[in-house]
Amino acid sequence: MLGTGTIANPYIIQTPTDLNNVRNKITTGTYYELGNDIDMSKYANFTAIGGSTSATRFKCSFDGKGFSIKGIKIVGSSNFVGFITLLDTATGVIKNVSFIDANVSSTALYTGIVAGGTTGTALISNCYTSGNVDGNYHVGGICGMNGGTIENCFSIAHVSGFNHVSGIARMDSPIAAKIYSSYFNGTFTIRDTANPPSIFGISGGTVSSTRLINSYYNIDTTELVEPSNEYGIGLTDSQMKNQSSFVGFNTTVWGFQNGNYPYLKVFGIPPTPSQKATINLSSHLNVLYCSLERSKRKVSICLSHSLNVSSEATRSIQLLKNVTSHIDEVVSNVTTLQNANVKEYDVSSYIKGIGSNASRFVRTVRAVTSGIEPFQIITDIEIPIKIGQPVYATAYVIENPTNIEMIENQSLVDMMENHSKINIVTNQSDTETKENQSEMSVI
Amino acid sequence: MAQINNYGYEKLREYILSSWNYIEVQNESGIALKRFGIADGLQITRNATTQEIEYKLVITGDATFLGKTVGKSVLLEVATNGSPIATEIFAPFTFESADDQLTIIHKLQVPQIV
Repeated sequence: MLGTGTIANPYIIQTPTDLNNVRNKITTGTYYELGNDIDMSKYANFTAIGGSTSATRFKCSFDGKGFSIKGIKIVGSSNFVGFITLLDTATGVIKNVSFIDANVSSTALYTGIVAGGTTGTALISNCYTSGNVDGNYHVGGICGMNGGTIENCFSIAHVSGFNHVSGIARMDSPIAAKIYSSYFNGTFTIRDTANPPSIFGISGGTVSSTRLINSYYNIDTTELVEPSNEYGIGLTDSQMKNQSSFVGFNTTVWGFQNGNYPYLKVFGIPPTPSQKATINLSSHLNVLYCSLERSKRKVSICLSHSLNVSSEATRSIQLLKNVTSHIDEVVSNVTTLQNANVKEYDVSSYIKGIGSNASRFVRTVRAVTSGIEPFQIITDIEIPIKIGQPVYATAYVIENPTNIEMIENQSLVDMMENHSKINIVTNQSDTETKENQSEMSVI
Repeated sequence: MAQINNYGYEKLREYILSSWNYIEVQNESGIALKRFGIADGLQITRNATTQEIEYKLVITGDATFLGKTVGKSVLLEVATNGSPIATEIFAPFTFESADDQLTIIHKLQVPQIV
């Protein structure tokens, strides 16, 4: 370790071993300084420096010079456990040092991260702590029991104990004991379930407005509200980030950044704390359904027909007169719209038998004529032809039955031959024409 | 209408696992910041006992994201271009330091869990 321990040539602590060796040279009035940050995270349990008796209390000056002691782990079972056991007298000073991610625990009384306790006119100044401190009774983020002075300090540690825990330190009874211009922004836990919890934002014990001055704690993170502000002034988290909330904070010591908590200038502007967040998102596929749509094509017979059409003329006459009865053109017309998906279909149009009846009851022979005018069937078939694909079109007249009954003799019957006309648009049509198979019988 | 049965959904999940393998992180306005595939650290897992496929992505404040704000997660099937399959919007997160870390867990329910 460099230096001689005097105010002009203090011991310079540069390694964990140097730091551990401080306990070996704690003559009153010895001066120590940190030469750099000290990483104690790989160091075994660190034993608190000094003792609690008058002869062994720490009465030296320890100046961190703005450096940090990181990851220090201290486990104790006696009263006064911390980096320093008990800081005493005017020469007992710890200043300008931060304890980052400290882990200090004790089963006894008075547990703090910087010191188990202070007494006399000892001073803890410009220090801050983070990590965890746990003890029995009287546990504080900076000091277990303060009988001296704590100024310009803050803690963001988790402070836990059986009962009686304070954000900064419990206040001892000496009238000179003071805490001012400090704040607590950590959290609390106590284990005593049988008694009312004694949790103090800054300090419990022998506090008063002249001993606990301008010190603040976060009521949001601590979930602790003391309406009287007797144990520290409660601020919301938003207020904790507002400079105007910190009345009495010296701006040569304290720095303020918009949206951040106050910092001690001796350590420089603190880095922006890293953010860690997890976002859970959920998308989904809707339930799927099958749908069956059946297109039915049903072969159905569409019949269109008219009832018997008749034209009747009756005349009672005494003289020979012409009597004519006739039926205008009879047409059976079928139109089929072709469905593109249906390639074969039948179209039929036909006229059922046509009859012409003429009867006359006469006393003398007269001419009675019954006839059917020549009729014709025209079938036009137009089909797009693919090369090489035959198209068959068939048109035919089934028959033309003519049934004539002669009641009287001397009837004249003329049978006209069926004049069917067939037009074939494409080749390869097969046409069959049946001759009229009229049948005539004369009774 | 009949619902697609479990086998049908399983085949869909298998297809999704093999085909929908990209998550694009966008800012609040939908501007792409980076598209992540499996080679970029995108983890795609499926719990056989559930009908969820999970896409997990851990983003840190590296040069791509430092100073940027992310606000959307988009599921895609191709490494470039393509059309969004699912877009989810979340509270904007701004990377203010290199140590900042955002974990996006995007779960896809096939079919929807009700």
